[in-house]
Amino acid sequence: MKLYKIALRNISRNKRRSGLSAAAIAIAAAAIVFLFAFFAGMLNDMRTNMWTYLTGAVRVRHSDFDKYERLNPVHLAIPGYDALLKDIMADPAVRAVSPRINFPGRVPVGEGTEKINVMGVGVDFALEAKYQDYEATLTEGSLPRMGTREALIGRALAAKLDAGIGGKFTVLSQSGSRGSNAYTFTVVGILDLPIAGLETLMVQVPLDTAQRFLWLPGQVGEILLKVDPQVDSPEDAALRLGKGLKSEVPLNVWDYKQVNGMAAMMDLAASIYDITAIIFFLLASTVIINTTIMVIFERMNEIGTLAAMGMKGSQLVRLFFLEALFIGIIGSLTGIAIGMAVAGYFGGAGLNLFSDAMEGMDTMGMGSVIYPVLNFKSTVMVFVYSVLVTGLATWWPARRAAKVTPVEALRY
Amino acid sequence: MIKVTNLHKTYTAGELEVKALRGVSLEIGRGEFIALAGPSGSGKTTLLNIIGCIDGADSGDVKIGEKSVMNLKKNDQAMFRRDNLGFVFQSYNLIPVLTAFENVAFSLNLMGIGEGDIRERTMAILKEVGLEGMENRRPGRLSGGQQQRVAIARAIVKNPEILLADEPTANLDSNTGREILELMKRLNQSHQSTFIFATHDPMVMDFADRLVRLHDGAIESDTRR
Repeated sequence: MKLYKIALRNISRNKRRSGLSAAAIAIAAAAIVFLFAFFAGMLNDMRTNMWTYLTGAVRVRHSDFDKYERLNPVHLAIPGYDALLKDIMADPAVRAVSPRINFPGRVPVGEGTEKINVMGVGVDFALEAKYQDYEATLTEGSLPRMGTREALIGRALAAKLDAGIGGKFTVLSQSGSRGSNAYTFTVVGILDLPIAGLETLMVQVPLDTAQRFLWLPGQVGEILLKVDPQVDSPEDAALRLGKGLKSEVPLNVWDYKQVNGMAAMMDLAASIYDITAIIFFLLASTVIINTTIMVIFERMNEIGTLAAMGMKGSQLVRLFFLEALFIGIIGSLTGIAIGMAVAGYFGGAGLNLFSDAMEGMDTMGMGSVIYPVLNFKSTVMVFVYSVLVTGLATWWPARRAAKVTPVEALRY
Repeated sequence: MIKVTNLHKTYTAGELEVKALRGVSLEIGRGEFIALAGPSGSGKTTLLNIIGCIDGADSGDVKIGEKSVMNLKKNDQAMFRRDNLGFVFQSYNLIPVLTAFENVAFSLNLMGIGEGDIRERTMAILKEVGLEGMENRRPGRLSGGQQQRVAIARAIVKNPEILLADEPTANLDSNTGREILELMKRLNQSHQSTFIFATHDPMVMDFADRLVRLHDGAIESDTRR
């Protein structure tokens, strides 16, 4: 009779209690699998949105722009960007580029007494169609034609402006010559953007129109790049491009973590998730410890009998360890299956938790709908953690039981 | 074969000190069928436990064969018990999740004996104790007498030098108790193991070839028949 067979039979001795222990592990494992998938989805989403709408994986700007950004230095633009784009596209890691001009503006609404803020972006729609996923976001209308005063606006902004397709609105902004200008645009498309904050602000217009509007002929405010991480990291690509690019004006070539210091926190977040997982497992382990102690006290007489028969302390520890191991394996496999099913479901359907709360907030690019992403490595780690924690939680009480002398154990 | 020399053992319960053994010395020969008798608190179970290496003494010595078992390390004691001693308890102490066969076989499993040999020896001893056909029953489906037979089979299957039994008939009616004692007597003769009982049951005392009476932790009388 092998020890593992006795351990398996002992598990069925008190099915309810074994079930409780397995359930504790299962709940922890399911919660962690889902949380890891949720966090991975959130980080993916943040990275994608930051790269697409805010910072690019790498951003090229006039080096003084960042210094005076609060003063809206539209005039600190990059001239002759066509040549620069060619050099950038020649880099092996670069997959897409987005030359753009950002311009904060005010739009009068109603009788004109009230104005709302918008964030105008002049883009080259031919390049931009390769840079951002209009198939997903442009849910109504079409892309503006270059050279026209046509615009795409966020759905939330459209509601604020009370403007659908064909609607008109006027943007007031400061030009590159430090004067003011106003253009009236016609809405030709509505964007459903993943970032609630952007949807209430964003106006996308043709780049050449924006250049005329802002008195910046042949210039862009920034060039955003997407890189293929398989080829090179944004950090290394930024470093290489920073050394190689030549321009009439001094340039800052920054990766997204340099652009937004908070983005660097995303790496830190991974450690926080690990700590969260450990806390979950610690909570589950208290159930295992309690159960094991209960089982040991109940079976103390039996421990004494086994010891009297000549079973060594290490064999007794192994017996209890095996019992816990089987419970851990059953619990963690069940939990992982549940966690994967829930994460898989929301991975397709999306989890809309924050859309109302995040409206108008700087969310570091986090979308309002999160699509959890399952990760094979972290799921395997959850299994390993579950079994390890169960084993460790059992080791201490089992070791104590093994130290009791046979005669003491037989008195129970 | 067993030589107990000047054994002392004191239990402390809070501030109370109970002298369980006060300088007990005793020699037991191979194959004896001996009863340690006496009222509660006389020290019979303590002496049995110390000889069985499941309890320690404050001073004195116990030699089994040529080996002093008092100062063995915990693991060595466990191995000594596994290879040389068998135990029978008042409440049978069978493992409830194992069948009669498995309870007996587990003794041999611990010794690392091959599966084929285990099967043969286990079936033989179960037949010898009258449990043929009940091998696959778990303890819950056996009567008290049958459970004690399994416990005896478990203890004797490894042909121990010594079989120690603590009040083996206390939970049985007198007829079943007599049957168990007759069985143990038979096994004592066929296996040549030394049988030591701790008991206050007069029937066990009647069955014993030698009766050692203890009182207040000391030997009061030692009678051979």
